[in-house]
Amino acid sequence: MINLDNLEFGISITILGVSVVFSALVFLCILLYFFPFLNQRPKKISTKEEHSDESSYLEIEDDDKNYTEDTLSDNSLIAVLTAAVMASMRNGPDIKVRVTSYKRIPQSSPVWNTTGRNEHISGKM
Amino acid sequence: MLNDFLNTIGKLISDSGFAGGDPREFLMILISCFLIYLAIAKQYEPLLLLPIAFGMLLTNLPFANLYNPELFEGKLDINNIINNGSLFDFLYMGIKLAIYPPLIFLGVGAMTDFGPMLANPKSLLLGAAAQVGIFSTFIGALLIGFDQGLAAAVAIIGGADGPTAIYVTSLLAPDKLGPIAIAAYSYMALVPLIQPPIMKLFTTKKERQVVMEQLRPVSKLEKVVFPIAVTLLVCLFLPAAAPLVGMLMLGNLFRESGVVERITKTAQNELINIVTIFLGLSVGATAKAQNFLNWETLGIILLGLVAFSIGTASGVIFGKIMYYITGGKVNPLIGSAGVSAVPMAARVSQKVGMQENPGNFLLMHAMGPNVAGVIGSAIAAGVLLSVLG
Repeated sequence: MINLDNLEFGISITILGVSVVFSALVFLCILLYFFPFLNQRPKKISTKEEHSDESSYLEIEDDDKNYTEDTLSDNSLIAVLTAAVMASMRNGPDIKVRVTSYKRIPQSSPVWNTTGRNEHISGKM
Repeated sequence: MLNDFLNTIGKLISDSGFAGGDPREFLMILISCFLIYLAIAKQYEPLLLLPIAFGMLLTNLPFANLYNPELFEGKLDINNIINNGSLFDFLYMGIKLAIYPPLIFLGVGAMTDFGPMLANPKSLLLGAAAQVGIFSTFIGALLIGFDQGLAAAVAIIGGADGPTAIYVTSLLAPDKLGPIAIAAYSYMALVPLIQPPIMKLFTTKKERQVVMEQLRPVSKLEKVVFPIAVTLLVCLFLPAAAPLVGMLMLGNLFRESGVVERITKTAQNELINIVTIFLGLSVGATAKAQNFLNWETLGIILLGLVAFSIGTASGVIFGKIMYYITGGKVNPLIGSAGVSAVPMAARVSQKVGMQENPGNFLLMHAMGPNVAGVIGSAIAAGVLLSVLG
């Protein structure tokens, strides 16, 4: 024997419950669609620094000021990077390399691999 | 001399559990041994089933009196419990005062990555759809004669979220905590067996083969803002859900903020482990023979399965609706993960999807509805508590 009062109560709670759960999560869903806007930051102004030294092959465009504010050390770093690239390319007279930008990337290899490589390199030197 | 010795031996035997035990208690001990077997040999949710089963065993030992339910009848009398209580009575206070489930949620929040859900906000709707199982089972439980509190406690099993089920039951039907917790955790363990046939029943081969687009990366800022926004939104909307949602989001904020690494690790490990032991033992302790061995327990176990199955089906059906609305971009299989059971339900979506298309990786897509289901079931619990509590 079905108790109609219970049935009515159950249906009313079901409608209420499903409505509340859906409303809360739909609202949350809409809110989450706006979350990517949190990532928008003012565009960085890229500065172009050109070396006045005509004989230099280096043209430096430092577009990543976030990583360091020290331009002098940046220039040194770029010089080292350029030298490393030139060395790896055997520094042929016909090869002209111009480092225009650089970006630091987070260490992705396990720290023990890095340590092993460093030790291997220092062992060769 | 010999008589004294024999009398002493006789008294020892008559006072022992072997002589004075109720047959129902021995049956409960057998059931608890079976659950211990399931936890160890079959690895069915062993982290909780093992302490629950052992708590069941201990509480049903004749004359041990480790748990005294009469101390918790009527208005809570702390002095009476302190003076007359035993070990499990003190541990049970954590359930009676609704402390353990929110603490478990703190740990769960500290372990959960809401990134997949943030990357695909639509998945929240699948988490909501899967909660239909809770409310439809509530009607069924009322119709077969369960009182309102017990009907709500049974229905919440459909959310497939153990701490939420325990939280609701401890407040609405505390004497049925044992069978409901055991049913909830058993079905969570049986997700890989229960869900696939339902998923296949409601989907076509073509739908199951859908490969979903890769999710966008989610920034740290979004992940930090999310728990604060959810806490404000949900707890202002439904204050009864605040203990569960608030602690879940606090744990998540610990994790995502990155500034309280020690606290995060404690919440993820030591705290949740300690609370799990206390919670499991206390839940097991409530499964005394007189509370457990009756027809209501059978009804709870059957209705729990119904709730869980309807939750899975409604998630898949909503996934199917999204499949049509989006022009085939959503694989309906991820809808089944809308029942909480993190991460088991998401793994099942992945497994069933791979059976149809070995190159299809649905896991991250299914994690969205899966973690949305945790929030959804906490909200559903809040609704039931605010109406019936």
